[in-house]
Amino acid sequence: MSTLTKKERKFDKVKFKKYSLKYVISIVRLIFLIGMSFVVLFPLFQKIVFSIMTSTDLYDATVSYIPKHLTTANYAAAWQKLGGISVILRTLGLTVACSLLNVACATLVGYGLARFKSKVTDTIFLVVILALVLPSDLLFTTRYMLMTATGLTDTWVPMLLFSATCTGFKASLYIFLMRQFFKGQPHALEEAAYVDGAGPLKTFISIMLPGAVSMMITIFLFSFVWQWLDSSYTSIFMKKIELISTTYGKLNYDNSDTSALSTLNVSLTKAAGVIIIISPLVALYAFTQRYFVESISRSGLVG
Amino acid sequence: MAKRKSLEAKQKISGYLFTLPFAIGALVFVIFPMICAVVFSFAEIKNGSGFLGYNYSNWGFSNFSEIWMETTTFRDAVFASLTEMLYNVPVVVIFAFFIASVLNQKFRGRGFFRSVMFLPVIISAGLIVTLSGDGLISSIVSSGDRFSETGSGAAIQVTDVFQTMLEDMKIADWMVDLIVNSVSNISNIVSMSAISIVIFIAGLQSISPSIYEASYMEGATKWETFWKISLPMVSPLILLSVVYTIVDNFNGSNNEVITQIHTKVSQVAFDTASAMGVSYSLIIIAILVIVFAVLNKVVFYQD
Repeated sequence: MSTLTKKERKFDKVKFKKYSLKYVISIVRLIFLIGMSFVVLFPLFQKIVFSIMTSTDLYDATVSYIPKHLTTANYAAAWQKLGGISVILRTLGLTVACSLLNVACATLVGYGLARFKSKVTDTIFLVVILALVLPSDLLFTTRYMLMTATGLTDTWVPMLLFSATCTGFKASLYIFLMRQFFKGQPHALEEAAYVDGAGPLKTFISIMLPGAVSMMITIFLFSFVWQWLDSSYTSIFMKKIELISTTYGKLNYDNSDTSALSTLNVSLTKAAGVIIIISPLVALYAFTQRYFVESISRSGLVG
Repeated sequence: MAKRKSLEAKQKISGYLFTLPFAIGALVFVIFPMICAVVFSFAEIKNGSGFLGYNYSNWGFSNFSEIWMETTTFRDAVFASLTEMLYNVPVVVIFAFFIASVLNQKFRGRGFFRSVMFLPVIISAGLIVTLSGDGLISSIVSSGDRFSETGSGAAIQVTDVFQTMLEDMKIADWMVDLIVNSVSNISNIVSMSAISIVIFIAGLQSISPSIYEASYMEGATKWETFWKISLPMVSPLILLSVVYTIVDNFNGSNNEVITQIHTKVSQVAFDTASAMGVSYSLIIIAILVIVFAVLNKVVFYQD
């Protein structure tokens, strides 16, 4: 390489230093991120492994993560304890209904709060924040009294009412997100629509809604997850209706058998139960996660 | 001739109409229960034929003195959750900000790591938390020899060595505790950070690249741009994330205080439940007001 001048060689050294530093940084970053992913994914991996093991594998010292005796018995047991297809479908129906109502309500109210500023809407926004901050158990007493007085407990109505008005579990967060999202959208399109003679409702439906789809999907995801896994509301308002949140407790014990072996089996069944419960959520997440950050970064949370 | 309303008045009315669903829900399911909870907390409630099917007697502070003076379970739980919050919030916010800065860089596999870091939103909510307190399997994992390389047994030894090392370096005891606790508590911290990570990534993405370009032209280093650009620009989001983490910590379904209130509601002990809820809400609101007042002075708003 004698053709290189002194200056060029020096430049090469600087370049080398710069690139090697970059390389080291990216390796460190990769190791760190793999570590963090391990923290998140390992418990899940463990559950999956246990869910297909037999109890002899748990005792077998040569088995760590790859079971020798594969079995689907844990899934069958967990499926039966959770109540089978009817309970799963019922929970799915309730969750979808509540999530759709939540999305519809949050979109309407969020738009109203973002675009039509008056003293009343400002007060309503304060109430949204208040509802977000208050522990929901504070409100349960009177809600329960109201529902028993009207005879609506142990039906779907209370949950549907809470969802349709966005007063359920963390539901005011959805309104908050929607309001921030619409606040970040430009006014020009709506003004053009008003000039062309469209009313507020028509403007909202045909101009604003199409742009808000990714945010609506995000809110649907949140709402679906929290409703599917919710036991605080359903254990009070829907005690007698069998949902995953009322049957999952059965995973914790085995009535027929109390020997030491059965407690091991219960653990394995429970692992299978957890996998059954979260698999629809993971599937939904896989389909919707690309909207997730996108919608929030466009929501103008910053200002 | 019909009187034509001004555009402003029309806008006001559409604002009311859009926010109507939440306004009704908030009146019936938030404001009314809130007022009732305050009233109930001063009464003794028994089954009867009065308001909403109950009788109210013995007005006074007896509920409050019962939960704060006579019994200690509620008091202890409140103090425990306060100290936990004091420790969790800074750790979670700093960790989330760090992860978000890493995930905001451009590198291969970024999408994968992003979706993994958001996964806790799904797999550590509601029922899953209750079900994962999985006694037997985790005890086998930590005590059994075959898992010692990856099980928590090994992790404890590592943090022990780490702890003596830090103590030898004459670092203040509380700092050592903080660091060691965060390391052994990492899975909890990761799952609590998920939403804050989303918030911060959104914030970092919304900073215009031209600001960075300009500062690099003036000769600023990455270190300087972090402190003088990234941090001030996302500071409103730090406030948001702090508030969210506090609320999430206080109202999470695995919070001991919430569990106690929930048990009281299920036992139809509405008076005690209301007193607990009211005291707890007042504490939460007081803390949020203080945090907001302090942090709002530091936050930089770009206008």
